[in-house]
Amino acid sequence: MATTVKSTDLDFQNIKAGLKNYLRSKSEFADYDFDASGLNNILDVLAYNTHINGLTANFALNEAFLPTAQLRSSVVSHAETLGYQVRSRTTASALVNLTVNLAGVIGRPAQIQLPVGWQFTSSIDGISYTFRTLETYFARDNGSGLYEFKTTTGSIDIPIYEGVEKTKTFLVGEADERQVFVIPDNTIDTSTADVLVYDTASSTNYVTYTRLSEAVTIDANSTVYSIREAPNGFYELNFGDGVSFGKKPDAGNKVVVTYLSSSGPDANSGDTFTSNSNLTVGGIGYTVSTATSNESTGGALRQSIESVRQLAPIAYASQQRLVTSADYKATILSNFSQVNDCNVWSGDQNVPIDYGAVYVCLNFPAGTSQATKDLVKANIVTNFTDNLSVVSMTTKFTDPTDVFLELNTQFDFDPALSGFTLAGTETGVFNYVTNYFNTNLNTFNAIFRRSNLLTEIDALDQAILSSRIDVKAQLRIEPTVGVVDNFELSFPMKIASPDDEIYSVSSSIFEYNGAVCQIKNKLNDTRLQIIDIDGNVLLDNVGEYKPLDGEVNIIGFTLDAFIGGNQFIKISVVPDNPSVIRPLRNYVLRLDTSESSATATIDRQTSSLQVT
Amino acid sequence: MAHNGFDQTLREFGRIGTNVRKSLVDEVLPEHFRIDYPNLVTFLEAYYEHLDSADNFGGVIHELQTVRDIEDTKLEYLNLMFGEVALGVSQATFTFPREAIRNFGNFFRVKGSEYSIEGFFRAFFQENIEIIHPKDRLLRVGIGTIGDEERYRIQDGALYQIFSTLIRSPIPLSDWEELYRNFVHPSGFYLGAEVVIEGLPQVTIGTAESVVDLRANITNIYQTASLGVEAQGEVVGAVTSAPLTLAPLYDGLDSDQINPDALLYMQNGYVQTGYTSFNGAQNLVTFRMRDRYSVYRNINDYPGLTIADVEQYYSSLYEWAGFYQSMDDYADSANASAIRFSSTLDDYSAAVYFRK
Repeated sequence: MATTVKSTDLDFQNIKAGLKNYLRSKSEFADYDFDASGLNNILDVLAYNTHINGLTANFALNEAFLPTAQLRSSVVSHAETLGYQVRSRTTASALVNLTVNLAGVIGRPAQIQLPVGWQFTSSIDGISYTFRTLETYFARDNGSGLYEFKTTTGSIDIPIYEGVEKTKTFLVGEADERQVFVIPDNTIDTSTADVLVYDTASSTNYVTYTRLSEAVTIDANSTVYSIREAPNGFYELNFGDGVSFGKKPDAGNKVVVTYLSSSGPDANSGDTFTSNSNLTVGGIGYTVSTATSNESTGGALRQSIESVRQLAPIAYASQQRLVTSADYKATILSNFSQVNDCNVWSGDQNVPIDYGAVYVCLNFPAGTSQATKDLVKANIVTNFTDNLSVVSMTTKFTDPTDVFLELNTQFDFDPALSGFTLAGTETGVFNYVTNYFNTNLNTFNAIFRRSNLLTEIDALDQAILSSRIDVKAQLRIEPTVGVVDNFELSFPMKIASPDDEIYSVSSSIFEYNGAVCQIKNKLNDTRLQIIDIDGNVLLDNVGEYKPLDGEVNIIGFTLDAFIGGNQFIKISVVPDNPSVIRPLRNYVLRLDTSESSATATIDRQTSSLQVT
Repeated sequence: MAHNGFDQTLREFGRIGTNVRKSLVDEVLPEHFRIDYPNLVTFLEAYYEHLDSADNFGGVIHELQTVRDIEDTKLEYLNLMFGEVALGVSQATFTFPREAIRNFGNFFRVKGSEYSIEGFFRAFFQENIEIIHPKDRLLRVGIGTIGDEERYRIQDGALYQIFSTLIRSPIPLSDWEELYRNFVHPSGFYLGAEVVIEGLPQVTIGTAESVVDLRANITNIYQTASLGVEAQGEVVGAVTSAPLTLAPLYDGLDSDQINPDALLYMQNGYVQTGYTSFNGAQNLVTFRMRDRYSVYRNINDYPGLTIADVEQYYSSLYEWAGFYQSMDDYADSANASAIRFSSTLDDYSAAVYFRK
């Protein structure tokens, strides 16, 4: 979140009081009664004047810096000065396999063509979205009359993009000043824009301009353009200056911009596509059969202010190179809207150590298919790390590991100080803890600090007199019923040493040898045992835990059945230091709400109400 | 702006000359108003004076002119600019933040290079460092031999491998690792560090009566020599993954062995048990001299010592505690051809000869 600079007092009463005190300190006004109606009115006017101007000055001051700017236009402008291209809305895209069957057709052609802009429909959450091809594709007869369309690289995965194709036309005027062409549409996906410059309004001769970011060299005759977000949220089409920064369209030219107006994230997750029309071959229309290779992903709204604020400085630091871990992170988050968050670390920080490698962990939105994840990873390597990283560095991907925290919150509650009931306050505290995780954790590198949460809980209501939280960390294993297996769990912190009263390691219940059991460490020992609910040891050694390494190694474990609806077993440990849980690398801290609670204890502060 | 024929070298206040802080009350109001209501004019002027006072909006408006002027803006605002172009590091990190912020563009463009590593330490820590490429010391077939005494090492999957950088600096790794990884470190490389300890070890070789206060509340008397000198010493040693458990194995008193880790030697300092004796009656602590300070040791006690040993031992310690070590060809007292190893400090010197 942005912080703001507050350089002057912006409270009207304080301003007026300050003015009054200042005037009183002047000998000329020593005997004035500033509270008299006449002077008081004048002071009001002057204080209002001061107030308004003070606000204006503060606005200007705050908008002057990227970290403090509040207006989107200011943030975007600051980012641009750092060379950062703010991402527009992006279209969702899918991969489909397209075939046309002409079996039995006499005199069928050797090759057929699917024109650019071929449209498909997909229904997502009951709403139809139109997808289209952005290139022309060809298919050859396989000998049996089956035509399968392929890309120029031979792939049968044909990309289709969601969006409505729109066109905006401009006539270049005579202005001496550099002209800016505003595309009045904030739904544009700028990456889909095609810019053609015609000789005249009626001419059919045109020159295709290329994106500035794709230009190799630029001189006075380079036909390049750029599109940037305008202060009003629309997009500006810019050309060169005609001197050194690309060709400037001449007066009388016609500029035609064609682009996709995107529905953004609403068009994600489409997995069934139907061709809107038949393909005509030899005057007869044939069905274009569609098989989905990869569901639609990547649709996103334009980049948020906070995202720009965070990524622009890192992108500036990366200088279009991938050297430090932060460079990788900024590049991935700036270019892949399919990714919610990512973390990157050097191979020398990995466990096990892996020199010459850079580890990338991507956090995708829930429900993202494996095919989409694989596609994003492949694109990261192909488009970025292979080209921009230090030569010979290998990019390796790993999945996030959820570490669940079990928080049992207990607080003292004085009902006399609150309008809420005890149960209502318990629910409120529990919901607050849940929201705290949604707001502050659930992402990479987000550290759990117990004292911070307790401070906020104490501040929720004056009736909450004090509070404490018992913390456990939890990882999950997914054994197969009846199969003996080993599990190595690595927690991102040290585990409490064995105790003579409290189990440092314990699991959720499961069925073993016909009994309801748990895995627990033997008291005062690091050995793990299987114990039934009556405390009988059914298996004396099922592994061990290593407190200092934060490891739990379960060896030779099997079970008869899961208990409850889950097909996994929770392994919970008491952290050595429950005050701070610091997730490293690919760990993400989440709250296990089913194992967490908030419990109040009545503590009446009014002595007259105490029951004796 | 010139002054007395010289260009002004101080800050140039004239760069931005616009001054909007001027009360025009007297000029704006009609003359009859000024004559009839002089108190009101004074009142309004006082108001504008108040506006221009510190922390009021008049002052802020004036600041707006220079708020992005690196030279003139307040450090508070400079900090915000560091947030934009310097990954949020605080201006307080730098001795000359206004100069530092100008160089971040260049710095980022060359990140990962030796230039950027050196620049990082100069800018952030005002230190010069040494960059070592351990891959240059990897053993290759037919080149060199293995061992501490030799130059080459076997690939160890850590420091001694291709993807590795070793930084030798005077600052502990923990002080700079996080910043370094954010600003410079090529991800995927091993980061090794050695600490160069430079200090002013009070190698006072004093008379029994001379008193040196090495540590507060401890009075030390050296009894093993008679010449008083005070010198600057330097020792280089490995820090990262240094086996601290080695420390007890090395008594710190003998120089007949190659010091496996000079840092540990220093860490043990002069006051570790066994190095000192305490005379309670006189309230004195007596420190034994480590004989490496002295070249009076009897070489004959070390029959295995070779010229190569001595060369290796002192190769990185050409100076120790002010004693400059050197070796040269010489003829010994018997006029035989020999190597002379000498250790000198001012007019205090000694030499041993290795007959060829």
